[in-house]
Amino acid sequence: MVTKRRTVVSDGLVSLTLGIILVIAIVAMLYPFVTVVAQAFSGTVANMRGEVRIVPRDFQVDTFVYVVGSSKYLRSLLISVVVTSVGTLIALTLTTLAAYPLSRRYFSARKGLTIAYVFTMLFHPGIVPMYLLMRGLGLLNSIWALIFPAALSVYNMLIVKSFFESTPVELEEAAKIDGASNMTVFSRIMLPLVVPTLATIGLFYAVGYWNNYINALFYITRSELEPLQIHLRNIIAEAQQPDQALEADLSRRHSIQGIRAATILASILPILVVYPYLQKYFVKGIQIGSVKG
Amino acid sequence: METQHAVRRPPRRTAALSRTATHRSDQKRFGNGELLLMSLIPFGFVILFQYVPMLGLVIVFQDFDIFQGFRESEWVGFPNFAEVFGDRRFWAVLRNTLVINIYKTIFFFPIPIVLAIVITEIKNRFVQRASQTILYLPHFVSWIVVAGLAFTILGSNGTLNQLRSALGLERVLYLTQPELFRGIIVLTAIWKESGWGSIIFIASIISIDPQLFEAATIDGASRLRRIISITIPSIAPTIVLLLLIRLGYILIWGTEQVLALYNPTVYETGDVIGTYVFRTGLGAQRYSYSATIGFFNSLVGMMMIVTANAITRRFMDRSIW
Repeated sequence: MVTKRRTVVSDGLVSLTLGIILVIAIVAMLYPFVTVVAQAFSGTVANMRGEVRIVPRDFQVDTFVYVVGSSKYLRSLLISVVVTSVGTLIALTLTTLAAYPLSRRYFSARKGLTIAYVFTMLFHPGIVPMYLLMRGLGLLNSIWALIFPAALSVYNMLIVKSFFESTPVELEEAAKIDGASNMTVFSRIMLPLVVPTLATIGLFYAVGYWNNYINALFYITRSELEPLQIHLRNIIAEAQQPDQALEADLSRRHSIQGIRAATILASILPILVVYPYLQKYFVKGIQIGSVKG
Repeated sequence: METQHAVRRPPRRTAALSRTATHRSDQKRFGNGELLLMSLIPFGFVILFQYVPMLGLVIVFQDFDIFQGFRESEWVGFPNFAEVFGDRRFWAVLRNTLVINIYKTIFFFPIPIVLAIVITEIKNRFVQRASQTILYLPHFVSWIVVAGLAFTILGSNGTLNQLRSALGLERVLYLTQPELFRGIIVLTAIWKESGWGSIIFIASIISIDPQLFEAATIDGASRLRRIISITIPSIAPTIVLLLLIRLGYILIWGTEQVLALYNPTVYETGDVIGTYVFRTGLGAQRYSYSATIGFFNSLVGMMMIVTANAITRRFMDRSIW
């Protein structure tokens, strides 16, 4: 009897500990977002006096409207939307074209190509040779410099390849016996089968393009070509100027904190919109990546 | 992303069997040429954007002048290496890179494991899904956004300093203190990636045979006992594998994060190889010097990853690729 009772108490304690860890983790993950939302919609004076905690004070949307209506924001948004959509399309095309041949066991160059692709995951030429290549191709200060370097992720390609491999061999054999060419098999049978996978991989590529700032930092110097992440970076740097921050000029229309918070919010809104779709697929994708090659 | 790509290798015998089934007649029948044609575009792309820049690494043996190009620049042999290895700045950034990544390994690495155990122990499906949704979210925001959030909370006019001044305390410039910077890097990494990092451990815990837990419960094992004696030993191979991968990538990871968060006042502790190469290469235009550092980093990095993979393959029959 005694041991049993001790077990019960101990289980309760474990549950409590687990619960506390979970609550701490969730609060820690959400707190920065909550603060940003509160600051973005708080009044200028409240923000400058530092009175904003987790709910907006003197609720207003002027700052947010000002931020998303500014020409710099709209221009950088356009760049990011173009890079993300064009980039994702190109990336999906390259990924599929690379993955399918590698998934066919009878493909003669299968082994050699796989090694050549995987090697690029291991050895990176580095920042300077990439810069010189971009310069040599005349791609500096062009949106292609934001698209091409990230247009084929070997990791994603291997996931798609494993999906092609998991399709039943009989499907292809039957079609081939009926006289279908490789291209017909690929476009009419295989491609429709991997569309759900491609949707997932496409979302990953899209998030990657949307969040990438490093290529813009390396290859873009003209301000009219800066993507949204670089615009946000500039806003954060401006808001960090200590003299502006310490001497609160209460007559300003918008607070630095408010502008910074509203810009952060405006840059993650698209992610929040696609997030439910992402979540639906990504765990599956990751688990397949972890079990198969 | 590489972390999640932990592959359980198929038994060797099946691989050999399928290879013998690959007959030349199959290749003829199924059309090898079309597949080659198909590979042409993506592989040409990889040649251009991955292998051609590798050729560009010849500048590590040159005194490269961007206006004279690869052909006209003077060939000098190894003085770039001598300059790099004789430079105290290089050793300082190498040390920073190692220290930051070792801190990350010590303080970051256990957290996804704990979160995975917590999440899989939740019995209510709704609570479980909702927690996962929240914990994975930070992975999908950019490092620039993370920097923005860090400034919002830790900046000179951030919420923490607002709280301090409300209490009559002096402001602390958290993000410009060299002694705090590495801690901030570790904290922001934990915030952004620990939820996402738990996925692979969750997958590993879910795949444990539930009969083990049932049998243990019948035998009177407490919840803690089940976690310690069943869950943790079952996921131990995954833990070791990911730890090895992490150590393999120790020279490569983290540039994007540091570049978003650092500033000149914290170079002393925060400047890592990637950021230093970026500034000396694209900023100060010391192309040969910075390319040499990049080359050294990639080379040693590759050897470490290959070693990590060889170890996991040898001892755990699993590999990264």
